[in-house]
Amino acid sequence: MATAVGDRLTTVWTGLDRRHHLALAALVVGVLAVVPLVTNNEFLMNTLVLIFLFGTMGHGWNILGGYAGQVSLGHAVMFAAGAYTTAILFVYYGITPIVGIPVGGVVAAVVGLALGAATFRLRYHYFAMATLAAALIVRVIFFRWEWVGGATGIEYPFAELGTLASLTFRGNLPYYYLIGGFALLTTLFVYVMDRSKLGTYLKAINMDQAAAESAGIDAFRYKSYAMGLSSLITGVCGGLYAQYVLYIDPASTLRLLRNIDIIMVAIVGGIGTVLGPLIGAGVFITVREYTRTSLSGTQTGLGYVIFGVVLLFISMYRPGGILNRYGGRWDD
Amino acid sequence: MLELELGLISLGGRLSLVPQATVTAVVFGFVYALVAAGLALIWGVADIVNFAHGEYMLIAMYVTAFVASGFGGGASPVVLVPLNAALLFVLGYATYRLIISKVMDAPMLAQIFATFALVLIIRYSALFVAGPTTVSIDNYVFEGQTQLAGIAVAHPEAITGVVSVAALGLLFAFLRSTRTGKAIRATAQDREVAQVMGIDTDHIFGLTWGLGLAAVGVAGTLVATFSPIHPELTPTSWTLIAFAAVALGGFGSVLGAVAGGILIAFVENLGAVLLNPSYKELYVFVVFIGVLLLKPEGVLNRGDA
Repeated sequence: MATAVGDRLTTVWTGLDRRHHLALAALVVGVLAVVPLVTNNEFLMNTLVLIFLFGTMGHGWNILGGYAGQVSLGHAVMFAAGAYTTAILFVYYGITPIVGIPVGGVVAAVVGLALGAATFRLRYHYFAMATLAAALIVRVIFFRWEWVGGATGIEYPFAELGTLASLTFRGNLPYYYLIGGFALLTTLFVYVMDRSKLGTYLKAINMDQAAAESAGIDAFRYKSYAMGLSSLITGVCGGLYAQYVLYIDPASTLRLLRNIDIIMVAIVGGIGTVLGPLIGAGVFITVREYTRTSLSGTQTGLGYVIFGVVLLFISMYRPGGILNRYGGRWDD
Repeated sequence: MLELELGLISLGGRLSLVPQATVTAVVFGFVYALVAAGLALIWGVADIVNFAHGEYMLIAMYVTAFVASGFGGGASPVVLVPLNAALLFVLGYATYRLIISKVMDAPMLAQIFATFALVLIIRYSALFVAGPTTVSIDNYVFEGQTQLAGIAVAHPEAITGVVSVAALGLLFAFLRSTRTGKAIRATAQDREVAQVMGIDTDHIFGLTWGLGLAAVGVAGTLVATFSPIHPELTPTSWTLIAFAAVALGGFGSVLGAVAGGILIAFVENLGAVLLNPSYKELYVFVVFIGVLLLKPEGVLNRGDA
């Protein structure tokens, strides 16, 4: 059933021209923009904020993993780079997150480019394993690094809550528009990138790197562009996450599952597609939040069992995700 | 901060700990070798990276822990070693037939996600069943330790080392001298030629998965007798140890993985004694990523389109 819906969505979307895409997008954005005016349900608002945040992170991962085909299992590093930069600049040095979040994005991009420079020679699961190892190294270091708060992490000062300079708010509403706005911006960017020279080159590298290179595409350079953009977006999401939860520690930002959450969103929705990460985030976060609040204690793990099963079926029967770029065949 | 902690113990003091660390490294090296051999076998023959290797080990560990506490410590690991090996063999064969065979010709992405899905399913089922706390077995069959020239070897660890060596011996004897073992090696060399020669490669891949996971079944049973089990931390660290060992030994080579496993144990234990004990894991990860990055031959050309 889900497959049929996915195929239908793909057909409808690709059958429309650019004007209709924008009209449809404007409609969805319009509806989402007025949602907070209609309801102030805490659970719904929180779920939507998280969908925006994870959808955007999914976009970030998707540029590198979906378009360029480089499966990073270490994107939590860039997420943490953004989150820690934002929090450290604000809590330690009093620099407003309005500056801190973009700086965090840049720091994440630099970290990502360094990681890419070291690992892009590796292909497929070797790249995946190297990025995973990098994530685990960073995790161990952050747990012991006193300056960044060690295992305790960094907490936003309560007294500053709600001031403009702290970019923190009481209630979900401002976060809804702030994070939703960044999600919209990123989606528009990926939409443009999808049809640009960069997008085409990345897809070519993904399909067959050797062929792409013999056609004159500098694979390393374009993979680095993808890594830079991917890390920038992920880093900004890290900063926004810090603002939203007001507290960061290695356990939440660098846990193994953080790497997987980011990927899950992109895969479930459809890797290498513009709308995949948003649809994936919609499905993933809704189920995750629902299982988390309705189940308790160790039962919360059940959400991940469910997603394991979903991921398994996707990889076995529909590796392209709900929006299937592969058209149901193995032709990677 | 690092220097400060190091300064607390003098160089001479640290050097005096080296013999003990060496013995520990040898004992742990054998069990690392066994786990890594299982991963390398699956990798080398079926060309699939099993990200859920540590999770399968977790199954054997929990079975051991539950049987031990359930029967008041009466069930001996001597019985559990072959039982868990058999259980994990069946699980491995089934995993291949039901899941992995469906993604053998799939894009690499689908293969990575399939075994990652197994990570989530096994780990969080374990969390659900056993709870988020560590489980450990007290007063199990093996107790006490032997002191020799100031070096202590705990009995459970010593037995783990010995049984691991025996299991490795069995595995190698099987691969070397039996018909099935030869068929496995033939399939590893060239899947298509093996198929033409009348080898049922699908069955062989299933057996490979069975054998590879039987190895972690043995290792998991033994390690559970002395090491606390945590549903999230334990499998991650074992999967990474195995990955690092396999990377060190040259990808897909079972014998190389054995050497890699022993080497990893030395890195870990000597690093802990000579540098800083709280960064044990870190040394393994650093060696792992270092090998991946610095030794790209055999890494670069595999699986290239």
